[in-house]
Amino acid sequence: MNIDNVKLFKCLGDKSRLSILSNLINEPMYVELLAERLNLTPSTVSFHLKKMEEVGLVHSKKEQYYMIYEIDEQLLNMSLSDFIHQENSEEKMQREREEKYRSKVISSFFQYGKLKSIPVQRKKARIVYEEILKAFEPNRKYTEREVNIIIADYHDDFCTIRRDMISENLLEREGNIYWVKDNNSNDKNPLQYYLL
Amino acid sequence: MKTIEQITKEYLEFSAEQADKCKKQIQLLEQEDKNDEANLEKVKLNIYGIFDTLIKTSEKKALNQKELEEQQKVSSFCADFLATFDRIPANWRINYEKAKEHNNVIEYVIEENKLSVSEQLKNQFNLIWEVSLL
Repeated sequence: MNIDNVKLFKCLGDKSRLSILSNLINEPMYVELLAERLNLTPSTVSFHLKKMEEVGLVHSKKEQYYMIYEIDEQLLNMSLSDFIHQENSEEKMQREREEKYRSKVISSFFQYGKLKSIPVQRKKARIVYEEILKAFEPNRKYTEREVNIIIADYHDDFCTIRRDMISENLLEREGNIYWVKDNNSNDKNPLQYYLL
Repeated sequence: MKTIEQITKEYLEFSAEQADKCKKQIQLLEQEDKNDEANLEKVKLNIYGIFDTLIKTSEKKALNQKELEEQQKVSSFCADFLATFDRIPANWRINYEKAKEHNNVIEYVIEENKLSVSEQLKNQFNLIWEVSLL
């Protein structure tokens, strides 16, 4: 079920709509009857029903001359934790979408293990550099020559890529020494250990 | 026969009375957490404001017509103001019809509200004018 939770809860934050729902929980009804029961104009009731229909709280079906409205039982039987869980599923879907995009960029820019061209878009370039970064060992120091050799395996323009990987915070350098930046750690400079 | 100023005053009193009712209703609805209905009332309140401005414009325009007799000025003023009840809501009517055609309930309820206020004000103005002719 694809629900916009924020929209749904905003829709529920109206007393008239709650009264309409409360009536519809008992039995499906048409606009005029709801209007009479709630002392609202039929237009106002239609207005509220449309808003609830948009978030999936109610559904309508035509019966003879009337449009009958009924609640969505499945949605109304959901618990708050179901909604929160659903929100987490959305995050998961977002991650999956990102992963799919990443794979697409990698397959577009790499061929037989070589980088075809350096992407112009920063987002794509970052993905490509992260892929190249896999060739580096974490917690190991590299000389500039070693870094160039590793990158040259992917692309001839190793200077640009090396500099970009520094500016993208993927590699760090001090003097002629390079290492993979540990983005999960506060330890910025492993060389400090050696200097101690 | 009433003067332009008298007709305007009577009309504005009626409009202010209706606007006051609207304001009270908005307050009540907001207290009851019926925000969408309060917003619909706010739409109505705006319409009272629009026609208040328009009647003052028609009044000013008619009073500036120095070449006309008093009675002609009144007739010109009333005709001019009544014409605004056709001119201004014309687009609201079009929007209403379109919304209805596409079953856009939210839109057509808003347009319906605007049209009902303009209709109410038109009827009231006609009433004030008719009585002034007696």
